[in-house]
Amino acid sequence: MSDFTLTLMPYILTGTKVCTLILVAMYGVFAFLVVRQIDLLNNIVGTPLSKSLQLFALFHLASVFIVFWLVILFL
Amino acid sequence: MTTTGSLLINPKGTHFKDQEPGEQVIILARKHTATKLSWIFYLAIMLVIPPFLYSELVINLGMFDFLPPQIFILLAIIWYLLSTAYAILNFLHWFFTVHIVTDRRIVDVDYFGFLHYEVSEASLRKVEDVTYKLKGIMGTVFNYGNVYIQTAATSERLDFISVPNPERIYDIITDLVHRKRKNV
Repeated sequence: MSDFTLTLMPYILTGTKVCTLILVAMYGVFAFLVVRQIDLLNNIVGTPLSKSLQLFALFHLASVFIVFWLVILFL
Repeated sequence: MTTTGSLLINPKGTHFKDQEPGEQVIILARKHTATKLSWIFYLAIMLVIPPFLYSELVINLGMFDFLPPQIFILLAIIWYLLSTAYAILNFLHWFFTVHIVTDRRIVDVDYFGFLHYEVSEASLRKVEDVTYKLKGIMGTVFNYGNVYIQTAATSERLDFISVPNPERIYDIITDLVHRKRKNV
């Protein structure tokens, strides 16, 4: 590995981390829209699974938040 | 049949918006489970790709081994988020593309894609013609096909695509329509 690559390595790592955080944040927006979409569609058609699906969507949104902070803290 | 089934006859606990008092849901149909096989297959491949590429390219061939391991973890996170989004979108498309037949009308919810869905409705009195089609190897093996309902309503035709047991759905709808016409 060249000295030039070694010099750039911290910047490559930081850049990758920033890109990942941006993508996780965008995914968080998607997860929020999933929660809203499920809420709207459950109002149109309700089944016994509606509440479970809503809970799963909220759990999914919470996990995105957790992943975001894990990336910041540990990577 | 479970609540996640593709064809529910007289399902319990099912209701829809603008359902009238005393109106009973007779059929709740979704696309046959076999139609999910393709995206589940692609999803399985997507899940396997990161560890496979890492073991082949980095460990066996020694490519990119100068990169710190955090970069591979971050790239895997991005890939798995995209895979999860793919799975969620496909599941929502299957789960919320729903065809409901009650003792008074037919409600068709078409979930075209994320943030795009359409709800159509037609009274049983306005149903003019019902046909069903079953074709192809998959349709024959798994017994699923299409049911087309021609109506005199604004939405001229309601399509039930890739629904299980189309013949049974056809029988139930024609029976309901005949009963409605007798009651007029």
